[in-house]
Amino acid sequence: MHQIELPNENKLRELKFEKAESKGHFDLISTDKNGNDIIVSESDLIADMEWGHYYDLNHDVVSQAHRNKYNGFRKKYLATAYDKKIEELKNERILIQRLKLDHVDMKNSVIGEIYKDLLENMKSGNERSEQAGFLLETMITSLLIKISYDFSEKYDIEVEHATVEDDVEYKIDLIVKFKNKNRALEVDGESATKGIQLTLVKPGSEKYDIKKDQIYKANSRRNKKDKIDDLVLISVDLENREISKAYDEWKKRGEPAGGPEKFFKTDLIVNKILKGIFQETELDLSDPENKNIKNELWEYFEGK
Amino acid sequence: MSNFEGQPGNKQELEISAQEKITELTQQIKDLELEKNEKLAELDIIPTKMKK
Repeated sequence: MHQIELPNENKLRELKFEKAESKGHFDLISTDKNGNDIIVSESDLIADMEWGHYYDLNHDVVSQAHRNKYNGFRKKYLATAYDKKIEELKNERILIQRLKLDHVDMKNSVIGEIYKDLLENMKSGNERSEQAGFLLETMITSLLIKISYDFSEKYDIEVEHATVEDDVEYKIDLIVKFKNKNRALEVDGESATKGIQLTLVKPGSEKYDIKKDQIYKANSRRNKKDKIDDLVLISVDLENREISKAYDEWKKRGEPAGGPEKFFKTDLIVNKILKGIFQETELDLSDPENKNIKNELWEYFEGK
Repeated sequence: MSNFEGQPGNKQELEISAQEKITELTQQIKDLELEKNEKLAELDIIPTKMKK
């Protein structure tokens, strides 16, 4: 079997493969810190890259019947790992361009300081921030990657990381592309790409109004031909403690596959997080017409 | 992560150094994109070559 070598320097985690021929599938099994085997999905492993965890997919133990499927997954995994590494280098290039050639720090000291901090952080090895806002952003990106992977035939969602420039200058945390659900009917075939800024600040507060104003200004500065159609502020109805509780639990258990979001209750994922992210899209979970989608997502996360 | 430090003495030297680093990063990005495609192409031929 061709060995796959990932471009990242991270230590690879071991996986075991459990054949379950009679059930017509095979399971990918990861072992947690306490030596317990946990069945993980392909999407869990892909999304785990968000948390800096990479897995060794060089075992040739999958039966012939499942090799095509396994190989398809290995390709997807390899491509995603490369894309992440390429994104990292592109971000470094942007930081150098903006600081050393555009001298943005001399034109706007606030933005300049943020860029400087990001470059310093990159040099020091990208330590994961444990600040609630950053954790939330990673958890939500990871949840959306899982949905996009597991429902790719149904929902047509694509998740893209914002670049450092998107983040610093346009307040974009992540980019989600929602393709038109009526595409099959050839209504217009258009898609909507939303730049999203997440916040834990509640609507109605002064802080929220300030953020809303920042988004409004960022939207007006944006080149209308750029990669997003709209930039929106989404207030996620969560408390800091709910985020740190899930994160602490995940850390305590040795950062098992599936990310800290695995320790969120389904109600919180569907009714608080996804409801907010999907609002005013074709997947709007408040829309009674999307009751089936909501139920499907509920069952999906219950099974995770 | 690169070892770009940006320490030269004057603005012009700093900009040349930054430009060189950008060129180097651009080349690394191109190389990685090529490497990715080559590795994916290798995996495409696996099913007929994998041993039992």
